[in-house]
Amino acid sequence: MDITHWPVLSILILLPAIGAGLIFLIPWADDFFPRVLALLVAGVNLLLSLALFRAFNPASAGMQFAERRDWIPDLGAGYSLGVDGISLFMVLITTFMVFLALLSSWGEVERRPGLFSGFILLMEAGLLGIFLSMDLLLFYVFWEIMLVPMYFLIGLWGGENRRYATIKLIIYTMGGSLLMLVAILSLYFFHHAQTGTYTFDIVQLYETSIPAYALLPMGFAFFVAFAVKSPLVPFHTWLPDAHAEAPISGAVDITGLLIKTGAYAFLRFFLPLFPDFSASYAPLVVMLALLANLYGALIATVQDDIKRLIAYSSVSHVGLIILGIFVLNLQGIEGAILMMVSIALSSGALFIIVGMLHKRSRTKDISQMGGVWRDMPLMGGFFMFFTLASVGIPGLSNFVGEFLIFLGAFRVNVIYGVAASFVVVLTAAYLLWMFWRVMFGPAPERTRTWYDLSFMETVTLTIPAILVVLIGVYPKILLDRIEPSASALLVRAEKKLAQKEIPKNRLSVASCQITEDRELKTEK
Amino acid sequence: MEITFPAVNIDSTMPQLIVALFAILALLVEVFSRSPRMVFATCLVGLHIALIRSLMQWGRGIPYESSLLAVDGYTTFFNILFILIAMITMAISLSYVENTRVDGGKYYPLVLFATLGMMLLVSSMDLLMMFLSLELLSISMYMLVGSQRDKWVSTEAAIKYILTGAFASGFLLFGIALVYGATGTISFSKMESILGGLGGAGAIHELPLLQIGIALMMVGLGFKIAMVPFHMWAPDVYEGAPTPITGLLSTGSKIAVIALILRLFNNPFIQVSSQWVGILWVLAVLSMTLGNVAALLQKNVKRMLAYSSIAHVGYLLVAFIALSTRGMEAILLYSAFYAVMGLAAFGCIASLTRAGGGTTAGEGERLKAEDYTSLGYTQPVQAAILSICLLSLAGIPLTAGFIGKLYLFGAAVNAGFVGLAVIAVLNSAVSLYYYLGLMLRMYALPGRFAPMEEPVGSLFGKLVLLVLGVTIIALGIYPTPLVGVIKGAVTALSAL
Repeated sequence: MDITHWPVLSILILLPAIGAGLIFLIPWADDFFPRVLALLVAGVNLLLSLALFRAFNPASAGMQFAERRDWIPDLGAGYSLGVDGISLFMVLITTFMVFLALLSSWGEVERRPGLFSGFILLMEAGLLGIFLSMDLLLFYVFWEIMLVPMYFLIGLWGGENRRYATIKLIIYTMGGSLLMLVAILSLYFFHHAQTGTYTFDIVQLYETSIPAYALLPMGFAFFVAFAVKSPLVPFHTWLPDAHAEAPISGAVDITGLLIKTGAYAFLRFFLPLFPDFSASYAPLVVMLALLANLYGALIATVQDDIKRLIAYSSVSHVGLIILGIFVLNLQGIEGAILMMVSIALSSGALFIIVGMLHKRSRTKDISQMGGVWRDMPLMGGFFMFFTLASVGIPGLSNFVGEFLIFLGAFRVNVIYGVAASFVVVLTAAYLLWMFWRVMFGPAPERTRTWYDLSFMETVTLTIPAILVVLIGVYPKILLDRIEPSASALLVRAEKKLAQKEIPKNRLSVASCQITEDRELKTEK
Repeated sequence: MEITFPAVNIDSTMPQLIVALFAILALLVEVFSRSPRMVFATCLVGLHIALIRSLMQWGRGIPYESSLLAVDGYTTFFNILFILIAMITMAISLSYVENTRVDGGKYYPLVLFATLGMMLLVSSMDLLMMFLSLELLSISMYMLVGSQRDKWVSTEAAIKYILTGAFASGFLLFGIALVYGATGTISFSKMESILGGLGGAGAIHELPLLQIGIALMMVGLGFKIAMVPFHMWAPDVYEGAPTPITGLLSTGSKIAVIALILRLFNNPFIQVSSQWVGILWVLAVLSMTLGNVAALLQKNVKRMLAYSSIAHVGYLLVAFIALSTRGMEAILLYSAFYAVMGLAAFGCIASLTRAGGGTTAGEGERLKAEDYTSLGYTQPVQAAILSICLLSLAGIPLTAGFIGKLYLFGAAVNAGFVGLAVIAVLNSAVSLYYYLGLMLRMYALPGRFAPMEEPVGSLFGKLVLLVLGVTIIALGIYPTPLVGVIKGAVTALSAL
């Protein structure tokens, strides 16, 4: 299938949006057809993104499949899409996890499952929009609009505490992103003052030099918006609530994807737009990231609620990803991208398993589980597999990402590397302890038998398992495609730094690293 | 004072004349046919003719200016907007009037008179004309607010509105007198040249009478747009008024006064406008914050929207403070958007009214927030359109409200008011709570044994709402055509 001449990125975004529209607008008699429709749309999107992967040129660092049309010419806002090595895998993991989420929630949603799949499709459209936008305003549109389906997924199908969770989600993420809107507008006017053109085109905005007095507030506004979504530690408290209150595993998977948008936005927008800010505050951000890594792991250790435990393990892993990004070298960034993909797979699969457990046990309390292995050896096997993947066992996908991030961290500062590796031990401890308590712990009295996985459930878990092994054994498929874009990103940041000529000592670390990376590349 | 009758250019003032003519004609129809539907049809025909006449004026670009009225691109833009607002108000009123025993025979002509007041207000070129058109607008609105005579809330609202409104008119009139005393003229254009000849803002400081006069006028006009701290009347009046009239009150009459303030600060008072920035900055922050925080606490949907409309005046002031062409474009754009969102929201509430509403407050109407629980499954059309309106009012992308706010806050950032823009966006974040909260309530999953409810609302009403909903989305996705129109209108205002 030759898709190079199609507006394939638009189709990727529009297809789920149209699917959701059909589900909402047509008064369906029962819930079967909308669910089939949703699954069909998600499946077609998955195939389309696979075709995109095949047609993607790994050697190019630039934007591929780019589309550009005027949207609001008065403002210079364009409808501009493109995909590069960084966003390619975000797109793939999104289409894949959405399909999986719809599949896994098939028997799980009891009330209005049709409506539920509609919101999931809307999320998919928004997520893909975020990953593919090459225009800052368009990006912002998708960034904000994402929140509406998320709000409804938690607010309508959530647990008892859902009201609190939705309010927290809205206040945190909206507060952050609206401040970013003001910063975006400032950037836009600065760009106009310097070049005389009004544009939201991200590639042109990269060239804007921000006056020193505005750098701190603007950088901070962007940083907070992305850090809230990521979520980095002082801004993280909405995530455990959102995870715990979203009762359907599929919804949680999507939340998992949502938080990838934060880390992605750091890479796509924050580093190139604010290279000086990133460089001078990198040590601080790295400290926050390490803190998040440690804090998430410590809090996860003491959780009794299995969903909160995995949510806090997400917080911990996100710390690692942010660490990878802000060590500002190629290994770190490659590791971060790989880690995002791996975590979406491993944590996503763990959440699906928790959903399956919840369907049988009706509890999220680890102390009420116990002895699951005896009843459900097949599920136990999958549970062990994905737990080990999350721990970072060599040969499975998380290991590669973690390893690259550590490599990047060690190159900047040995302490960073040591601190991060220490947390890995802790991660292993709390995840394995959770596994032991759920699988082998003392079994409470049960009113009914917990039957093992059905065929559909086995299939749902097998697919991510294969991918986890595949990426773990042969990460080159990903790295080959990530590398050109990631190094182009660093080179661009370095070039902008060189133009600014701010005192050298403040960013010597970062710019040395970047130069080194480039030398390494040329040597190859 | 020598009185000369200016030559009236009938051709240019045709839209206003047509509206006036048909309003009177509709009253005559009421006398002879006693059928509210006939009156409705007469008014609607009149509005359509006036709309076509205004649209014909749009492209011609021959401004006409007498000492009383200016007919330029700016006026024509607002004329078209007000005629559309009137048409929408009429359309959402039709079934409401029949269901709630409002006397339609007087109601529809009064809507036309109010519209005439708005149209004359934006074209006023002297203080007397301005005052007269504002009174025409206000008095029509007083009567419309009280038109549900068998409901005590409606009467109470009307009395409150008349008392505060009369008070505001007093302030305005006194302000006008002082301004006249200071400048010796009531004509906008003469005032502009007199004040312009004084030699900058410094010399104007020497005219305390003028300063006090303008301040008093702003108090009077502030009342009319329900700007904090002159907002006290708004929630009660909005709650008590017939719902379509609440819509008209919060969109049409506010937009007319804001358009007038824009003209005042662009023509006669342009020299003093920069002195008002500080005060308006504070008032904008107060309006936004108080409006949004108070809206959080409301249990009644109409009151909630009333407070939210106070907040929206604050948003408009944010762009006003920029005192730039960009700011004016933003205000015009947002006014047009707000008119659609506000009318559609109140139209949805009106359309949910069941026939035979009682005499007590809110009987037969859905006013309490609890009444909206799971509405999306029993009244899908109204719930969907109301959701679009709420999303748009909250400024969620892909709705008109987002584009509007983008322009408003963009104007503020461009003029260097970044702090104000930050306060405005934080307020938007607060407002999400109650807008999305109501929306979530409407789609709360119904229990297994939830009582089934017959869909209410006429087909015609639903169609009108559907058009409005689609308009909100369409303008949110592709606002370019409207932006072009607004640029023309703003150019006309600046050219005067």
